[in-house]
Amino acid sequence: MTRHPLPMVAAAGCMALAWVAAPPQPAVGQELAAAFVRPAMLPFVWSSLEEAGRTGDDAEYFARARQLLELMPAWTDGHTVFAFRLALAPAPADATDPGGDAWQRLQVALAWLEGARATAGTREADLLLTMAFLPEVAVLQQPALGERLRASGGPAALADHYLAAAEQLRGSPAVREARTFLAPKLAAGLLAAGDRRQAMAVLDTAIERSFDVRDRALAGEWRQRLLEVRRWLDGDRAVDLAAVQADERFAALWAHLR
Amino acid sequence: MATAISARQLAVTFAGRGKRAAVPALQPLDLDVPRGRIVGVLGPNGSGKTTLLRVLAGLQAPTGGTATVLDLPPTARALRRLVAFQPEGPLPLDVLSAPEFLAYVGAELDLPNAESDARAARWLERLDLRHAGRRRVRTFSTGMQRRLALAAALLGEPEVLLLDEPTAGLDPFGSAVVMQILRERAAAGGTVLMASHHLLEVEEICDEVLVLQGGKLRARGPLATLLGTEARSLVVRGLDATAMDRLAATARELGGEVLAVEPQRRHLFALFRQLADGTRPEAER
Amino acid sequence: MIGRAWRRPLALCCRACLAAAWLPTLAAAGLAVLLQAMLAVPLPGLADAPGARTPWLHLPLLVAAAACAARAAAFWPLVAARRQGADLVARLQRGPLRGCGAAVAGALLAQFVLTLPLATVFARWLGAPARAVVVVELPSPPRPLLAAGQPPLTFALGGRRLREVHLRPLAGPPTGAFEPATVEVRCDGERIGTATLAESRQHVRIAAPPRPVQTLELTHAGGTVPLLFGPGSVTAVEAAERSAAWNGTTAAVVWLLPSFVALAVALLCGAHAALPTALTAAFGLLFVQTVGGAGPADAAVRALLRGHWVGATVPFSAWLPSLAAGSLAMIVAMLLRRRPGR
Repeated sequence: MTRHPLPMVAAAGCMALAWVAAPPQPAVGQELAAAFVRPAMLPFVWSSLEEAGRTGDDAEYFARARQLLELMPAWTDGHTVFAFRLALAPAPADATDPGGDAWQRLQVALAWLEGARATAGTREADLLLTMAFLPEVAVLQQPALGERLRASGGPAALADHYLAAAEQLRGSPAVREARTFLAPKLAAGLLAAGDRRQAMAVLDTAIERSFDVRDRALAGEWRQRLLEVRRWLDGDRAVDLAAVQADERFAALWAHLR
Repeated sequence: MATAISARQLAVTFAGRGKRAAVPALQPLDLDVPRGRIVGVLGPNGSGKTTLLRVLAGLQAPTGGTATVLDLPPTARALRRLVAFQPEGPLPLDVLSAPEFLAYVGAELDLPNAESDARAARWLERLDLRHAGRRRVRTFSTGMQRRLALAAALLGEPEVLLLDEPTAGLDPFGSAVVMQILRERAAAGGTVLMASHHLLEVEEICDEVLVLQGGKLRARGPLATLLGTEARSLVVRGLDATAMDRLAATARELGGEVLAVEPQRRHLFALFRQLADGTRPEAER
Repeated sequence: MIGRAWRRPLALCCRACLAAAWLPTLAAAGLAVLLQAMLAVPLPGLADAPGARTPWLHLPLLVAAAACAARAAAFWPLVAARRQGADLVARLQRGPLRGCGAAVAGALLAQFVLTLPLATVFARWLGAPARAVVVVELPSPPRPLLAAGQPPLTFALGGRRLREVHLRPLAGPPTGAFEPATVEVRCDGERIGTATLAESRQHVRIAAPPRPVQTLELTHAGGTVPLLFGPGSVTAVEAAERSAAWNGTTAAVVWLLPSFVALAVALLCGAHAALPTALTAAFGLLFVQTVGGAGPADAAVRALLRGHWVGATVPFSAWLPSLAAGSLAMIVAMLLRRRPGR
């Protein structure tokens, strides 16, 4: 029996037409591949991750974590945990430049989280909030990192950048208030970097935003402190800074208010 | 005449499991097959034919009675080459070619390689399998597989052949070749016990038959005895129409019954051969 | 003329397995390359970690093992019960396993032939180092706690030439205000480095002098974090390097163990069960022992890609449970098949 070639030709033509009309997208293929691999691989990737933590080195551990998260890209908490671990990992014993090393790890961790934004969906704003706090925590872990960040306004500048992005995505009162309460640290970072004008602008914005703080008493107190700092930075040495100096939330600014 | 196969009260019962009752596959039977005989085992499906052959091949332990083949128990190692068993169904190791399959059988029968290959070539030729070349056995037709199975059984030149449906799926030529080979084996002193549903073939070549039903032996004996009656028939061929009418009239006068006076016909096998290979019908040659 | 050995079940099964498994193995290697490119997107700045690429080596290795096991079970009609044509082979075969042992050996031989290039060439492509180092886990001392006021911990090295010492202790709660523990590392009394450890499983590498070392000593030199040096928390990397090809060969041999166990259990099941049941048991066991990590195969692949000498990471003693399990299954299968069916 001879087979008629027409159906084969028609099928090939349809395939070609489909290819031209809707070219295959690598992301779709990637998600499809992950969907097939995920159920079979997930338990074993978990155990491999644990094994890497037990007997492997840091590079292997984080590579395993990446494999795990490639299988579950929308798991934002997972991205956050591993990126934080990466950023906060102790410097190697033989590290000659612990600050540089920590800076490098922070950049990679932030890039990791930045990459996770694409798949975070409705939790993207949460991811940005955690990104905002990462630099500050990393500086606490490795003080030498603070020196590296000083020129760019310190960890608070990075935090403000991510909080602004989070606010743009989800303008919730909590995010807005977080930015308002970050102002002293951000201003301190800018002052340390020598940018007095920008520091004052930050304080002005925070004063303006303090009207939106839901707790009226806290809002008034916060605005008062910010106004005192703002006036002092503006050259008004008659202002009484006793309350600011006693408030731990303004500790970052104390060095710049002498 | 020496006995090749002997059984006394031989029985096989497949044990039941759970709620399933035990199945008596073979009820106690006595059997003696002299050497040089071709014995047919007849019976409907599930009558115990295959079980009987498997017991005699040493593949199934009897649950009662005893059996001997060439005066040895069926499981005796010495019988591996002296007794050949051709089971029904497709062949195993079907990714091998026919020569490879026979080479494996020869090696397991401890035949020297050269002798094994020579015998294999001979049987492949005789059973018309030469043309299969290096084709895998799984691509063979049913008939080719049966012929190769017979070649494997004959490779060790056994004294006893236990054959389960040796002509199942074979075309008439293949069947004829197999029948011829079995006759030759018997003539050379070999013993053949074959289970078959092809009654005509059994009638054609078997010296004796056993008829089994539901595991019980229903009849046993030489074909002539089992099929014979006191009455006689006359079959006449080659007379012209007038002579035929006279002969029929005489037969009636003598009290006989004329069943049919018909034109002479060719045998179906002759017609088949003529159509299959273009040779002239046997009757015309 | 076909040689005598080529007519026997071992060679026949080996050939059948090779013929059936080479293409799936090749396809699996191709798929592994593809999946690695699609799923393992590297993050710039993260150090390269060949040890994390085990899934892409596991895939073709597992496919080769599974294909060989499946083909062997399907090819040899006596592996499982109720197979067509089994009677013909059963009458011809000697031995209590009726050729099943030879069929298993043939499958393992075929698997070795297929996995050797994977464990040597493909593993190198995945990033396995060109030379392997011997990594030895030092046995934990009877009192493994290192803290202020505790005596130093001593580990016997028996004259090994070392390249590095790796520390990875567990950290306890601080005994005072938090201050990371400082540990001095000495080889035969000579101080070779200091490690600062603050948290559990923190990994510290200390370079060692290239000379034979009898003892390694860890001394608490400061800090409030007590450290517990339990099993696996101190490893020594020997100075000598070994051939990666031999390392791959050893890994390929270790990978035969799961298949041996799987096929032996298939034989055991197949004494009464049909082929699908025997195959399911074999595949399940193969999967758990390889990808699941229950057995030495997973550790061997990890060691291979990390550039650790497989023979040291997976010593023969680690093979014994698999060998014992497979042998036991074989023996029981043998007993079950000893007599013709009733």
